[in-house]
Amino acid sequence: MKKKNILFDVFDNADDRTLRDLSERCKPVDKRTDRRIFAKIQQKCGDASYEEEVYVLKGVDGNMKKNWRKPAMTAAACLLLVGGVIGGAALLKKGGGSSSNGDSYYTSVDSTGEGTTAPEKKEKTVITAAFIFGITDYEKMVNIFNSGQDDYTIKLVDYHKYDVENGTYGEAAMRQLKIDIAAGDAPDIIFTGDHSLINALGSKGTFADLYSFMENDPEVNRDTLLPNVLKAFESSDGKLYSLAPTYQINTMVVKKKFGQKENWSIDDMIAFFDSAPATADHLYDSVTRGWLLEIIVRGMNELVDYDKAECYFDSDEFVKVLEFCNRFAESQNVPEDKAEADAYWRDKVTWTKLDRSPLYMGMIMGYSGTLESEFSSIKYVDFGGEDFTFVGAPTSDGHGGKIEPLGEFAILDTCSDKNGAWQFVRQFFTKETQANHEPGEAPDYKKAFPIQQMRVRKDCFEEWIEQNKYCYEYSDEEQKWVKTDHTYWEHRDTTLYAPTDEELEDYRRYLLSCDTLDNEIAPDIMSICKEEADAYFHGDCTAKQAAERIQSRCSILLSENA
Amino acid sequence: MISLKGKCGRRGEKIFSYACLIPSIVGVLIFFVVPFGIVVRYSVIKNPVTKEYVGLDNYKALVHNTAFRKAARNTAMFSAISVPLAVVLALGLAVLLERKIPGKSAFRTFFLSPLMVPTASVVLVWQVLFHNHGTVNQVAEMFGGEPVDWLKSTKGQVVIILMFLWKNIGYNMILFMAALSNIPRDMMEVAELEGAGAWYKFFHIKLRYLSPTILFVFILSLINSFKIFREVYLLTGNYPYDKLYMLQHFMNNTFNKLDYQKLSAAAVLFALVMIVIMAVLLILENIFGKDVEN
Amino acid sequence: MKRRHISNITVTVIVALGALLFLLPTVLTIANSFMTSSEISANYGAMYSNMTDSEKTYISGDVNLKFIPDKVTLDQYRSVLITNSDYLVKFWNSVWLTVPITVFQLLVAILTSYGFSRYPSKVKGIIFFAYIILMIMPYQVTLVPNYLVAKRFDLLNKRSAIILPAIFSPFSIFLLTKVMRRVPASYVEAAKLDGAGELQILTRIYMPLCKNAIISIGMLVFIDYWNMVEQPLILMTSDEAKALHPLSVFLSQINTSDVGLAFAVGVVYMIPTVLMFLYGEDCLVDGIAYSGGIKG
Repeated sequence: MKKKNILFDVFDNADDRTLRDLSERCKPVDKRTDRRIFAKIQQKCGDASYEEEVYVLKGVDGNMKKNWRKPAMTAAACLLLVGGVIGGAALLKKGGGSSSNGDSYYTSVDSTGEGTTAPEKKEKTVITAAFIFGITDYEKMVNIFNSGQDDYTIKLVDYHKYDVENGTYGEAAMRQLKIDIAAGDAPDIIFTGDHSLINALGSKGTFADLYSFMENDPEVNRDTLLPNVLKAFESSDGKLYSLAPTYQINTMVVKKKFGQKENWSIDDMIAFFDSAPATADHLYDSVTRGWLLEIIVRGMNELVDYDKAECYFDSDEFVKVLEFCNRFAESQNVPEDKAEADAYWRDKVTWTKLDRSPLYMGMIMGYSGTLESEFSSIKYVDFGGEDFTFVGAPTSDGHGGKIEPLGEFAILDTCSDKNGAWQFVRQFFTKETQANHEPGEAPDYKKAFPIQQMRVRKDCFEEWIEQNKYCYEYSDEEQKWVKTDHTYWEHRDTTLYAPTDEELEDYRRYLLSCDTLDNEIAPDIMSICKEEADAYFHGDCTAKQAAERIQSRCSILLSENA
Repeated sequence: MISLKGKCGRRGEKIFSYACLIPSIVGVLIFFVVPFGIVVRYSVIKNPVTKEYVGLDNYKALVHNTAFRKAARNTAMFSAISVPLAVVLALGLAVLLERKIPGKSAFRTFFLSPLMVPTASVVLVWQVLFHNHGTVNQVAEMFGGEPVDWLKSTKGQVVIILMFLWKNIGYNMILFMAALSNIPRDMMEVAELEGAGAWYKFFHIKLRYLSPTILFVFILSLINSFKIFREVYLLTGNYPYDKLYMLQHFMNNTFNKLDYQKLSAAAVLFALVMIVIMAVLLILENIFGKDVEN
Repeated sequence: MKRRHISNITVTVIVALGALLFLLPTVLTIANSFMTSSEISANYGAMYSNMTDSEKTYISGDVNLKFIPDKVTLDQYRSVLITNSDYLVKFWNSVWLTVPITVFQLLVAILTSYGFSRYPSKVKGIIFFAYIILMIMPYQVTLVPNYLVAKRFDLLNKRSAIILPAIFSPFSIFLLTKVMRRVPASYVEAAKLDGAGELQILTRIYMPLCKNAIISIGMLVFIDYWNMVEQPLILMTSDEAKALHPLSVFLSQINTSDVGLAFAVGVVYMIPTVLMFLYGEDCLVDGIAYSGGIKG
């Protein structure tokens, strides 16, 4: 039984050498045999359909592989592997895709799996990597890593399927992960989107300190990665338990003419809304109050102190937040009719420009390879050409710009070979992986790890800033993308200019000053806040009462952890 | 011959009676004792991941943990109030129902009905009753009173106690009724002849005979008072308001959070407390029971 | 005499009021099961929108208890019993879980209680005391270790993961032992003189004498496990196992899904327990009658 699996393991992690070996030892079959064999596969394995060069077998029993993918190969001829076992034989197909073209190579393997074609494999250390949010984006990297060296094999463990089964968004996966850890089945690497998990477990010494690996790593270390991002991920005792390879910046933006300062506080925000211009007829209904509350709470890291296990929801600040959010609409007034709804959305995007809704929820995504800088798009499209200030989410300590990481890696302390784990994790932080796109190049999904956000590496960041200095257009004469200083967006009827050097320097400085995360708040706490806030919004209690209830419930939650 | 047979037979019977215990002991060992042993082990290690031995550290941390203290306090208070109430009220009802009143057996069935209804359906009804805009508040408003947000304030305990009483009084009452009917008639007649008043009869005679039952009902109610967690969880979720936060919430949440040391330490402490209480009750029974057993 | 009469009336009134109050929730559940789902949403809508797991939205408005539906309909029952076979499957799951537990627990209990009640000794006393302690533990205490033990024996996601620990629960042993200890020694002596062996003493004397107790303990056990919720949620989490979840789990999560059916499902769920009650109420009273005290 186990040996059979080894056979598939070969196909699963097949590298060039293995495939070459296999195809050399296989003898080609004629078309008739080929069709016969294929029919037998279908008969034995149930329905097989052909979708996009991937054979997906339905109703397959446990020993057989369910998905076969075209491995990323540099060679022109791609090998399509149909690893079906037909009574001890393996069929290798070489060719474009369907069963009728391309050559087939047929080789027999006895059922113990050793057979004539299983090549020798050096014993690799297996490192398990648990993915909470799905594995599709990372499979390629795993395959490349596995086939690129002989010492380690990364085994993907998908926890996302528990969420899919239960219809939850993270809870079922997390729960299963915890049960597995308790049962002694802890994975070696965790990849998660919820920083509160790292916070909760980090203080208990569950994770390895990534800084210790960085000390010996010439390419991925404290000098090559952005200091503000590193600081954001640091725990209170200065260790780095997790790190994300990409992130975006969440902030709020208003026009400079309103005179707000960078990184405002809630008082400033309230004052701003109190003194909004008369043209602002959509002042309070561009966002819903529930969503606004969530954004503010996520931004105010100071509300929850995980180390001291305290929270401060009964502070005046928070009561003000609640009262402020209450001003906003409960839900957006999207008209029912489709045509009207379209018109509504089209109109909505102009609100910030026309000062009808002066607040803009900004996200700096860090797209590289676009034709114009993101900053230009904010300035010219969203704000109609007027200068703007990053005011950040309202906080009381001035750290308004929030880093929202897209997935963080952490290495567990129980990993037997942490070096191996680090070898894998660092792949995501190398220059090669994080390289910016060339202008005009769409995100290349064929890349192993397509990145659509800001990179954590310093050099990539600086390159990106450099890219943002210009707009780009395609020059037919030179057959490439050239720099220019403006571009035109037809669908919004706006001309965008590249930022000036001073402006760009200002943006850069701001981005480098963002050093706090916005996904630190535990989902439990968030849902308690929303629940009680809802009661207040519907008039069932005062803001102060709601705040007190949140405080009482959340402090129980936190003290459980202490 | 007979005595010899008696001797062998006796020993054989003794062995047999021990043998009867074996299946149960084996099962209990596997499914209760060994797990409890694992719990004890978890309570003295640092981390399910690293498994280092830390002795009593977890216990110390636990005792200082505010959430645990709150939970323990609430649970103790709840049990201290509701269990005696359940016993006393049930006893009172049993005495009342002892008289010849019409429809006695129908009433008895009604009082037992709470046992039949599934918890989940019933929780819904209770929620409706005590919701901020629910029935009780509406009635209160009709009489000019103020609506109280039952579940979200300190009055939450009242609701829980009521739920507990509702569920358990019926069964307790049955037990008492049965015990009352077992009091030997002759004692009562003697007391009547000697001109004893109703209260005297009750306190000095009936109670004496009832004391084993009272203890029994007390234990049963105590066990059931810990099961109230399910209702509270269905009513208010994982993190209820202050006074409703009980030990089982603490355990449930720590379980969900991977915090097995805390959970285990709490469980062991809980077990120790129970052992002490049980021992006390046993001693009490010895004192009071002796009178009856003669 | 007259005073007695009046006080009897007052007592009757008090008791009647109490009994009706007690009956209230049950009656409500049954009555509401005959409502249309729109009526239910109208009355309880505020409650339900409050209870979705992920997004607890809030609608304030009066929540009313309705006793008599405006329009009596069998709609809900129709969906539960006929159109949607899911519920019947779950009902059957409940049966298939609870009945084996009850039967086997009783069997084990009868044997074990017999062992405890004959030839009491200090050792047995200690073991019995340990059983009592175990009985009191709330399930959370042993849930994780139970999970680990089940994993070790490869029982996870199978019914046996829940059934096996339940069979050995000390509760019925505790009750039954106390009853059995009351069996008069004279009966046993007489049987022994007649040459009865131990097994015969058990089956011919103890069991018939304790018949009522056995039935009533069986009822209690059945009700207890019919209502179980937590064990399936932890021990049976895989896809295939989910199909085996009993109705009680479904009921506890019903607030997040089908509102209208909540009551009908509740009534259907109640049927076995109600039937048992009607049949066995007298046994219940009779059976535990002898149990007093701890050591018994």
